[in-house]
Amino acid sequence: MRLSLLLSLFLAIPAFAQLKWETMEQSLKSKPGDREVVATYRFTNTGTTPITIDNVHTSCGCTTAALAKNEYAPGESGQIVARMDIGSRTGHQEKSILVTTKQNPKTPTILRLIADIPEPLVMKPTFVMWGVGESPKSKTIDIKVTDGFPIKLLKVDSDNPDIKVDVSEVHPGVELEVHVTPKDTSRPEMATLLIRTDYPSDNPQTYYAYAKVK
Amino acid sequence: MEAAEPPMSTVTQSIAGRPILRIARLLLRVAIAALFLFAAITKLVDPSSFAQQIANYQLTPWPATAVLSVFLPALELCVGISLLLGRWESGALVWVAVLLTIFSGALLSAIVRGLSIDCGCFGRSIENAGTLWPLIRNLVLLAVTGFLWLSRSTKARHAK
Amino acid sequence: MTALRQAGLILLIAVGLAGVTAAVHPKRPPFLAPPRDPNEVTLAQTKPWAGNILWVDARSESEFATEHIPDAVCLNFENWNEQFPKFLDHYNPGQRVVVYCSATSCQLSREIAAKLKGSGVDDAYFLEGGWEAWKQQNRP
Repeated sequence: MRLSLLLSLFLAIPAFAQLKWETMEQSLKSKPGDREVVATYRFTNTGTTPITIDNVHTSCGCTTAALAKNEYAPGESGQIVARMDIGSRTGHQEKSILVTTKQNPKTPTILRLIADIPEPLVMKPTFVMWGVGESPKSKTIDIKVTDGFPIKLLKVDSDNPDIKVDVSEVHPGVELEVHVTPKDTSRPEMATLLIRTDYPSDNPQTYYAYAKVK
Repeated sequence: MEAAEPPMSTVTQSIAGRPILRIARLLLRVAIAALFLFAAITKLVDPSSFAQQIANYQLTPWPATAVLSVFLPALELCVGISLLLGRWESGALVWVAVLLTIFSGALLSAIVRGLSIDCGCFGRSIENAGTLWPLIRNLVLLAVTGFLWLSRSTKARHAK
Repeated sequence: MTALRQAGLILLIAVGLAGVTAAVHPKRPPFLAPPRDPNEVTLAQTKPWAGNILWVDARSESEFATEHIPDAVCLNFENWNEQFPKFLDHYNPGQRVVVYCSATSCQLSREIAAKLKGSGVDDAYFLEGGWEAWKQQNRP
């Protein structure tokens, strides 16, 4: 009798979280060329009454969360598939997905999507500019591969013959200095510089820099 | 109810005769002490960043936030030491309950308000508050605190 | 009242400890106002830049299409590669670039401003309060 009194104190845990989640947080790494990061969160209704998921809300417009249906009977399982659009994001990203149920609107579940989007190379700066009439001196863009990244810088081309590129290899394939020179600056010009790489091998990525006379 | 003095609480009585429960109680007390000491030290190392975390809840004006960023860890440290040494246990337990209630309230408030923040971004206020687990953990701790309180030794109850 | 008295004593010690920490800790927070990100600007701070300012909208293209700060350029992570050349069409070195997104809680403007800085735009800032703040000040 007295023991049960002791035990009852331990059981002062509110009975929400009827939905049991396989995992509430996922960490993913992406590869250059990946357009999105996908994480699936599986759950089961471990209660004795049906659960209705009435809202799935993401912390960012870049992340969508899809749910096949809203009602889950006792014992039934389901999943939420979260997709985070990578776009031009790099580095550490943390996005949240808020799941609310009709039965427990004040105690939502927060799922987390943690993504590490690698930055295989760093370009500084990513664009060079001259004013019309400015002296057409060469300007330099520095490209460096991130330490240890298995990517090789192959070639740099300009898509405009009136703006030339001349590459010095500080460290072949790893660090390049791209010297950009406009033929003349008498009128506005625009060039996209294409930096070709060999990574990943099934979908080698090209990176862009820009040169402008305006 | 006995008229003798001082009466043992039902809970204290249940433990008194059972060494295994006394050991369990000691372990729970030390566990909570360790939790508070750990929490205090990690925050005392960088009050500035803890202040930023408090600010993310958007519950307090900045000067109050700055004060709390230093005062809360100091209080946690004192409570942790007190529980570890077993001195002033009653007073420490009062603060444990108060702190847990405040933290749970703040967490719940952040979760609830997160729904109305614009942009579809509930920004860092939710992301730093972590998931629902801290809330559940706090409620379990409150239960344990309740147990420790009710099972205080007669001596501790009526000391000094 | 033993428990309360003990609690009171613990409180006193904690206050003392807090006071000492506040006085000597190298990483204590500033008391009067929160530390500001040097790249964050208020709407008021942008007033003297009128005429030499380039607004950048970090929100989605649909939000941008609905309404935006006049002459703003849309630049977000989703369409960076398509939008960045258009940004360059508008940008002149020496201009102040101020990025905004929906509201204070949104971090996109901070991130896009950081990406612009990394790309070589030295004067890239983000607007405190975002679109909401601008709209409030510019009500017809």
